[in-house]
Amino acid sequence: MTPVPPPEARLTDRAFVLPLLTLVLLTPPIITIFDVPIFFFGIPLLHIYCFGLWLAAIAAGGILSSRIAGRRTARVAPPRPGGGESD
Amino acid sequence: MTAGSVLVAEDERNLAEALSFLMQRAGLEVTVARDGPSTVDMARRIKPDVIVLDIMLPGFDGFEVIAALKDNALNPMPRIIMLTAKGHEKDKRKALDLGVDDYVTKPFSNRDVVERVQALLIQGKVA
Amino acid sequence: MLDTATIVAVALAYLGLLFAIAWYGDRRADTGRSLIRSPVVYTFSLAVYCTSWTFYGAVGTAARRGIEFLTIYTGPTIIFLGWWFLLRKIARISKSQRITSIADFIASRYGKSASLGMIVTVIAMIGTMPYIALQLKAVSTSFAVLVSYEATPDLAIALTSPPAATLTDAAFLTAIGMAVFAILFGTRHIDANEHHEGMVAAIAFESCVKLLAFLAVGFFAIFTLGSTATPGAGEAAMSAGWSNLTRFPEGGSGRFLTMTFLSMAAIVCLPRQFHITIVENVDERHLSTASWLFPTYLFLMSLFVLPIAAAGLSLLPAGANPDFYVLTVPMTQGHNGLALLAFIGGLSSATAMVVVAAIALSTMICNDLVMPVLLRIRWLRLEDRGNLATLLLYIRRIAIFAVLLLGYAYYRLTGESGPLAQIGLVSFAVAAQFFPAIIGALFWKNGTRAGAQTGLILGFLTWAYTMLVPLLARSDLFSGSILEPGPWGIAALRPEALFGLEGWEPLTHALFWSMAANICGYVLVSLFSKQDTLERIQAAIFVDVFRRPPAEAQVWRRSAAVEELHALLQRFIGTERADRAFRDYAAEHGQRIGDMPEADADLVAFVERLLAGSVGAASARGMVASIAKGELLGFDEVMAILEETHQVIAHSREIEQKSRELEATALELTRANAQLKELDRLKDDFLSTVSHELRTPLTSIRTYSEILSDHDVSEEQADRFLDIISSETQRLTRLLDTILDLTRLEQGQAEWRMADVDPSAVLEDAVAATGGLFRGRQFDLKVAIEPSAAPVRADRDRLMQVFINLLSNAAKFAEPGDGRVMVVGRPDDGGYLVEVTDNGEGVSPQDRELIFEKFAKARDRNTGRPSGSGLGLTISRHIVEHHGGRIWTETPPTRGARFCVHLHSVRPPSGSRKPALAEAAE
Repeated sequence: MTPVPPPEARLTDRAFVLPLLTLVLLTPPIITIFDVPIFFFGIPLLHIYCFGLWLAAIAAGGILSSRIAGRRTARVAPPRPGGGESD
Repeated sequence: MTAGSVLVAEDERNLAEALSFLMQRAGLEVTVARDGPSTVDMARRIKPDVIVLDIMLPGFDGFEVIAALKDNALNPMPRIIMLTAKGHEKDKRKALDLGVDDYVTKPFSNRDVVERVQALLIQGKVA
Repeated sequence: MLDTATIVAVALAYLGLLFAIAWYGDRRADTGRSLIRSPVVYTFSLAVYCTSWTFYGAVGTAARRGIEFLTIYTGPTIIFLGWWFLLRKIARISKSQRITSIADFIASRYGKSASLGMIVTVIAMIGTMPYIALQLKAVSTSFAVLVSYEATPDLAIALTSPPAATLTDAAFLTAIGMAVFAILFGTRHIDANEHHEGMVAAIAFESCVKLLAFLAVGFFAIFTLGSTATPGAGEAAMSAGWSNLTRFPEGGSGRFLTMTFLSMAAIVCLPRQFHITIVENVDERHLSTASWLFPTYLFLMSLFVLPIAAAGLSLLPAGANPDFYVLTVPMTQGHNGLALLAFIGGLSSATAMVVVAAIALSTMICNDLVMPVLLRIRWLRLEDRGNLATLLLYIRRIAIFAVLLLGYAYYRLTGESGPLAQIGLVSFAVAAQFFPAIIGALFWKNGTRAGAQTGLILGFLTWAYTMLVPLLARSDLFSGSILEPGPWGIAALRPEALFGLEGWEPLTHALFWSMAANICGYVLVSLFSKQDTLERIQAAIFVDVFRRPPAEAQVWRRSAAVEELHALLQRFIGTERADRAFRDYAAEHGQRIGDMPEADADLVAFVERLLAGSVGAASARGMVASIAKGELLGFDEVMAILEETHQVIAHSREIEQKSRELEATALELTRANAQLKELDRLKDDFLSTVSHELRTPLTSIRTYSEILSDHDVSEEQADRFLDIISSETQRLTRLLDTILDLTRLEQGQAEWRMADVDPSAVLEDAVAATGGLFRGRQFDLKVAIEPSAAPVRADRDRLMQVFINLLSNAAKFAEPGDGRVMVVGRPDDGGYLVEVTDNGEGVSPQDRELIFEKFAKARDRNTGRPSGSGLGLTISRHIVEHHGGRIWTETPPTRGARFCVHLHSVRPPSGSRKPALAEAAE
């Protein structure tokens, strides 16, 4: 049994929050918090933070876009018989 | 009087005993089986002319017994008379569809059962 | 050693390959097997964003200002992650309105205004020139670096020598080559939707090449860093450069934010970006994939920027131009082949940008600048001319040449000043001027044409004054005195410290003032100016694109002769396509064009939309107006229609809501019906099982009675048969009693005499009562009953019934001949737990629930039918559950079955036991 997908409204909320959050986390002043001389394998913490966060945002975007795409095809497809009885 | 062998498949001890008594009094050779598997087993070994078969049998039920007998391609195939409960029209139809030769509804009249068994025996001889 | 001939040969071969790909892509499109109908190709084509500026310049920026280079990539990432709100909406509108360019988009939104289209086109041209110049500069400089590095490594430090004569200049030749490419693949024919598949395929290919080239250099840089530089020595040697690289730039927050904003605006507003993202988009769903795939591309593109910068800093002499580390780092190690690959990557970035920009600009120049002017010149009588498609194509071809020549001229005039990134940001800042008008177009219905015009002009002028003037002043085109002490000596007007805003970094300063002027102009003028009818309707169409926008035809009361419309369309898109379009329209509306003497407003709007796809909204409007009679409704009427549309939207929402509710109700009804059916089926099952259970003893009774009356039997046999009759009669009675009992329990009619009861005492009584069952049959009965800590609230007799049932079941099912039964009672979990364990066949896991059902008798299957009613456990469960307890079965460690009953105590067993209870327990 597949889990019931979250309502469209929640998906769009997430689609709205994701870019905003990315913007806030990838600009000063947040970003300057990581501007400290700490190195991992010769790579400064600042760079690790930026690239790590960026990658995470991309992954979230990927998941979100596949959900939205899935939701849209689900809406087009005829309703599954008895699909609503799984509560 | 027609001679012949009868296998009584009935799980209720008292009923089995009664049926066995009746068949003996009618001059027939009687064996009793108390569940599905032993019915099939005995049918294969003693090759009865007629099987009096209860629908509700432990192990597997009367229908499954018939199916098993057909699978085993018993030769000659014994005549089968089924004991069904009244009101179970579905069972009756199913039994006839499966090729059962006759059926009797519980509670039955003794004479009725004996006559039907004998009728089947005569048919068997003719055929 | 790389000689000029080799480099030129490779570059030419590469360009030849691009031509081949574009040609193949167009051919595939012509035969209907498109190459670009894939989200991946679409994403790669978007990477036209990464120009030679980012290819070479990002490393330069990183070497100078560290992590700041990232902003150019994170801005687009943010916009694409938010595709659902911005890009998707722009794409949807553009598709439905057949938008051909960013100028067309803005003009169309603000009432199909020709003047607004012109303003946007002029601004876009001025903004794109430096950018094209930058690409040409990158190509020629990288070429120079490549050929001269061996002879004079210092040449890479400063290329100040004047460029070569025009005809042999690499930049000029590149410009010509790009113009030819753009003309060949960008202006093959006038298309109703401006798709240039071959060009897009070539751009996507170029994006692959530049990514691979950059990754190759990146891996090389990491490898070189790892093998040559010892970190300690390296750090000490160039600690200043190293600290630039690793730390956030000192006081760079403002610039960081500015650049993030600029790159966000640029990915939407740059004409070439708009063209490739929106106009060339063939399927809206591709955006969904690009929303994460394009950021991934950017991520890969930027991953090695810092290592290359670090390698450059540690390997090259201090003062070497960091903008060309991508080339020079491989060359320090003698890897000329890799340097050549990097050069091709840079060439790719430059050509891609220039080609797309030239095509986008030429479309704008043709549709929004030249055509409106030509249409206005009455004596040309353009509407009456034969084939206008060819005219359009020639205008565009000339525009492409003009754009590239202008770009080259700009390069020759200012070419050697400033690092690459600086020039690129100038262009970004111009493109950002479109941002307020676009956002307003999408989300604010009250933005007016006058507002948009004012904002754009004010913003652009402020940009020119605060950014372009200082740039030109530094290239000695202007008197330097304008910077210090200011024009006419007025300090408040100094371009880099306007109105006394001192100490700001120039880019932030320029962007602040230009955006302030732009937004204020747009918003304030919009608030105080009136929209005309067409603006109003276009605003509604744009902003409400996702909820049934109104149809344009609703507000035009106009008609035209069908032949004239057809003739007009045919002049632009050719006879064949015009015929097809009319046929499609007729088929869709279920009528025949030939039957209509007059085209209605709907058909007129349809033709205008088709034309807009070729010549832009404003020009299309002008041309249709010349042959269509009739007028737009008055403003008030339009408002009424829009209001109505709104009500229809609201109404249809209500209907949707209702139908959702109905659906939910229907679903509930279906469920209820299913439950009823299930209940009905259970009732039938119950009845038929009961009748069967009753029939069995009845049959025995009848049979034996008949035997006794019909047959001669011995006295002995007669006695036995009578016994059977008697016992079957008793069985029948028991069965009826049990069924009645169960029915009462199920219907809640049973009487309960509830009292505080000591469960251990009840259990002991039950054991005593069933003692006879065990004693007579050689049973091994073990009893371990602990006193209860607290009483339970229960009906004593009923509880007794449960325990007796469990005990007799155990006796019945225990291993025949060697029966072992164990009874345990002990306080447990705030109550009392009773376990009855036998060593019989046990209950299989799947039957654990089933055996509590009526007539289940799951345990009978292999042991022959015991003389139980099959209702005992069902009744027991009813009783236990009525007491709020739980009854279940489990498998003991040894074979057999264990039945457990847990009952809750009245009080938690924390206190000491009462003496009275202790007595009761004995």
